[in-house]
Order: sequence, then structure tokens, then C-alpha cells
Amino acid sequence: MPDNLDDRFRSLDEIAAPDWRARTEAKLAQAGALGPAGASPQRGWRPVPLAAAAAVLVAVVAAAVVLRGDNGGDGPAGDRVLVFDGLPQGVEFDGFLVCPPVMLDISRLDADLELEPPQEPVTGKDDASPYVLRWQQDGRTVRLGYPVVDFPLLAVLFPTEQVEIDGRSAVLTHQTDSVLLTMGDRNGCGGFEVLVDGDDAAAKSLALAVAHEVRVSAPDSRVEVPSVVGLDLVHAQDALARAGLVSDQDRSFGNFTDPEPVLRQDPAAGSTVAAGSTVALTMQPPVVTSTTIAPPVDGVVLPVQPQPLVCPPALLDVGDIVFRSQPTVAWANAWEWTDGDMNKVVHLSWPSREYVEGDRGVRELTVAGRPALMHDGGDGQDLVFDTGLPDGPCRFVEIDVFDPGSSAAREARAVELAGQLHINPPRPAGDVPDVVGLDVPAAANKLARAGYIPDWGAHPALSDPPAEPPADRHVTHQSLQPDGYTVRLDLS
Amino acid sequence: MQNARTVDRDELAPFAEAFERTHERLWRALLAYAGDPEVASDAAAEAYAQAVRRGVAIVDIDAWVWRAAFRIAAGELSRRRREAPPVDAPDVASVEGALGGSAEALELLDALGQVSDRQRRVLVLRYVGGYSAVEIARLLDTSAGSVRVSLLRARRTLRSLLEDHDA
Repeated sequence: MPDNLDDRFRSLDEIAAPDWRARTEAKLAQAGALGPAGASPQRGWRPVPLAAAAAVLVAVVAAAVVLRGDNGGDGPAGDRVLVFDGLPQGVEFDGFLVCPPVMLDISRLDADLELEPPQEPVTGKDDASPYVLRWQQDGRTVRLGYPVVDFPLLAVLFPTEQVEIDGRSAVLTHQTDSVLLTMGDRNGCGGFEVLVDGDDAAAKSLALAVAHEVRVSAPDSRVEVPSVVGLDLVHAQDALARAGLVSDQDRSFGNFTDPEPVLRQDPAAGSTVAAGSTVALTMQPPVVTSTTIAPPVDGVVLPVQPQPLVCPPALLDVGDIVFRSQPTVAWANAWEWTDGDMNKVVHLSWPSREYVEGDRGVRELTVAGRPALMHDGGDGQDLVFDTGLPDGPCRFVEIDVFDPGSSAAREARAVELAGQLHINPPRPAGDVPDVVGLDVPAAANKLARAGYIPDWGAHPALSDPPAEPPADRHVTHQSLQPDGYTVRLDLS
Repeated sequence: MQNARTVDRDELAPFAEAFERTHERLWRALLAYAGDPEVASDAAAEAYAQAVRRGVAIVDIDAWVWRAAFRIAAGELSRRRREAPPVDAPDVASVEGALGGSAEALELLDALGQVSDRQRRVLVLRYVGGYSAVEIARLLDTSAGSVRVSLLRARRTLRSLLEDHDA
């Protein structure tokens, strides 16, 4: 059964890991870094450059084709670069643009340019990307693109230095096998990045020379603003970029992966504006109030996921909380929403396993008159407090607040949210479902969706890690308790 | 190789200790991430080799090596995708043929190959690496909040995929 992922992953221990120490020494010897006792190089190894920017630039590229055809080999390089209103005739993309090609003025570069081929399927907004141009120069591969707009994934920290090019400040990052020059705004279309193979003086000189020739500027032309209302962010950005326009969306309302429609755009569709202008996008409802989400029950307004529930969602009255993004009820009743921007996340749930991780200490306190624990997870505060409901899986509620601010600010926000959260009395709908014979997660889910609280004997105290319903045990008998909503489950 | 330097063998002691501490876990994590034992071995070895070349400049060898190894594996997977038709799922058959492993393990690798790259990373770091959300956030240079969100969704996806396998 997949319920216990720890067990599942332990099955990997059955696969014998090879001893790759000799391979490491071979690499050191190959690089001349190991003394004479180093092992001889192994055959078949292809060095993989540890180039963070290359990987970032390359991995997120969505543009798909090499410029070809009508721009062909004739004429100066300036004739073939992407200084045009939109994409050139005959160029096909199977990815999505973020920044308009029209603004990346590389007409002074003399190189045989091509677009970086696609790397990964584009499925969500996080996968949309700037496009990247690539060419060979002085025996090196050079890549040029807009700064990446994405979450950093796996970052290796490399030494950097500030450089100045024509009075403009830039950052040069020395990577293992490359140098990355970043000019201007890293999170938008107002700058660019140059990546050159090799981390030596020649690579640095080449990066500086390329940067000297590149400008980010809009052509002197006017374009019509397309309509992007109703499109998700990826498609809206792409449509605007193809029209030569820059999109600017309030990312604070964003979710992490789910496409969200554009509600408004400014300027409006049909307007004529200068190429390179910014079109402001408003994504999904900027503020969701209680009136649009209450009552939080199955299938009404909140998108309750089909995954098993443990407690009835209607127990938590979130009517006084003002959400900054559309909250969702996720697995095991976790509500989540962003709380100001994408790095500020709030989870509201019955305690989850994660709350004991990254422990920087736990202290007791009283919140809204209820016993509570505040756990400092380092960059997130987890507040667990007693609801006053009967013992069982729904007695304690957890509010996790993550944001880059201070612990004190996160703690204050958690306490504020706790004060705005009200515990509804359980209101079962209809008769108690028959759950005898079901495994405990299935029984809990069935009862929770009917408004009943399952009680399989797990009565964690406030300071205990929560106990998930055991998937390997089944209900042999059920009994409704005198309170009218707790269903006691006897297990096999 | 640029910036190569000679490493005294005495300098290798901390790296050897780190190797003993983590080499099996790291390799399995890379296998689960990349689905290819050759990529796992090469990425792990290259990461350690690069770490050794940096020597005392690295404060936390384990963290550095894990970060670098995953970055290298990701780079290799990207390179393969560039040069060959996209292969999203790990090559489970190669694992089965080369290394053995139970049906449960192979099903898991197969399922991991079907989740997104980001979700696969957090799952592997969590369940094979044994890292907490906070530690994963440091490894991924992101916030613990986003790691937990990714983990929440990744677990949901993986459970669903494994249920399909079990059905």
C-alpha cells in the first residue's frame, strides 16, 4: 500500500549501491588534482559542467527552434537578430515566451545565432521561460538570454564580482566551468544574462565583450495590445511577448503551479502602445473574503481535493480571515494559501507530520484563550493549539506561517490568524455512514465528509507528533458517542 | 580542467569520512532522482571530485556534495534530453537488469519518473536523503514553505501513482 511512503522508499535499500570511490579518484587524477597515487581515469566518463546558470538558463528554455530560412546567411548579423515586431516569418515555437524578443537588441553582435533547443515540456507557469540565444565565439559557446524568472531550484553558490560595462553595473559569477554575467533586473525583461563556457580570463573577457554589444531596448514602433483576459499566466505572457510587450503581474496572488486566469489587463486590449510597454495583469481574485468561501464544505466553493480527509472541513470557520490567494483544501484537510507573495505561505490544518521538523525550539503559550505551542522551524512558525473539541485527530489545529521575515513577525501573523479562526461545532449531515470493514483512512474520510469526527483511539497530546490513521488496520465496530458527532472505531 | 589544483592526500580525510557517511544514501537518492545508475554514479563521483578540488573552502561537505551531485545529475539529464528524444521516466529496466531490486522498488522508481522534476527532488531529498523541510530548503535555495508545499503535492501525486500500480 502506498500510504506509508517511508516504507516504500526503504525498498530502495535493497538495491546495492556501487562503490564509486575509484571513479572519484579517477576524476581527480584526470583533472590533475590528485597526487601520483590517484587511480587512472575510467573510460566512458563525460565531464558534466557544473554550471548553475547553464543549467538554469538551459533547463527552463521553452523556445524551440533555430532561427532559419529568410534570415539566412546573407547580410550582416544585425539583419538576422531579433529586432522585429514579433517573431520572424517561419519561426515556430512549441514553448512560451516571457519577454519579448523585440527588446533584446543584439544587432551589434557578429555571430551565427540560434535559439537554444527545448529542454523540458512546458506544463505550468513555472516552466515558462525567457528564450536563450546561443552561438560560438572565440572557440567558446556563448549563451544570451533574459534573466530567469523562476524559483531557484538547486543552487550552488559560486564566487561573484561586480563589474562595470559602459557605466552599467553587472555581476559576474565564476562557476566551475563557466562565467555568468548578469546585467540589470534579474526578475524581469529589463536585463540580460551572458553565459560563457570556461571560467578563466578569456571567458570573462568574452562575457564582458558580449555584454558591451547587447542592449535591452524597445524599437521605435507601436503595437496593438492583445486581449489576454481569461488566459493563464503562461499564455498571457507569451501572447504579450509575441506582440512585443512586457507583462507585469502581481505575483503576490499567485499559486505555485496552478494556472490562474487573468482577470484584468491594463492597458486594455485593442489599445495602441509603444513596443516594449508594460501591460499590468491582475491574476485571479486579489482578495478572497469569507463570503466567497463559506461555508467550507465539500463541493460548494472551496475546491476540496478528492484525497482522504480526516476531519470535517466545516469545523474550521475561516470567515474572518482575508486570504491573499484562493485557498484550497488539500490532502488531509490542509488549507493553504499565499499570504502576500509567493514566498509567504500559510497552511491551516490538523497537525501534520512536518511540524516537528527543523526544530529550533518549542514553547508553550496561550492563544485566544487556548493552550498552544509555538514551534520555530527556522524560517517558519508552526502554531498548534487546542480547539476544545473531543480527544481525537481533530482536537488540535495547526497554523504554519512561512515567509522570509523575522520569527517575531511570523509568530505574530500565526497568532493573528488563530484569533480569526473559529471552531464550528460539528454538524453531521444525515446518518452515520457505515464504515465497518474499511481501513482507517477510508473510514475517517467517509466520516469526515459526512461531518462526523472519527476516533480510532489516537489521542495525541498537544506536544505529541500527530498520528495518521493507520492504513494497515480495519474497522471492526463503530459506535456513535453521546456527543452526537464522534464515532468511536474499534480496529482489527 | 580549469582551476585545477593538487590536493594533498591528507586533505582527503574529511572527504573520505563524508564519503563513508553518505555515499550509499547519496547514490540511491541520485538513482531515485535520475532513474539511471550510471548517471547516479557519475554525478556522485563528480560532485565529490569537485568538492575535493575545493578543499577547505567547503564548510559543509555533505551539503555541498548533495547540492552539486543533484545539479550535475540534472545537467546530465538535460543534456540527454537535448541529444535524444525526451525520456521522462527513469529507465527502470536498466536498474532491474543491472542492479536488481524488488518489484516494490522498481514500481517506486517508475512512479518517481512520472512526477515533475521539482517534486521528485523534494521527495528524494526527504525520503532517501532524510532531510527535513528546512534542510531541503537550504539545499534547494528556497523557502521551507515552498518545500512543504512541494512535498505536500508530491506526496499526493506519488501516492496516486503508486495506488495505480497497486490496483
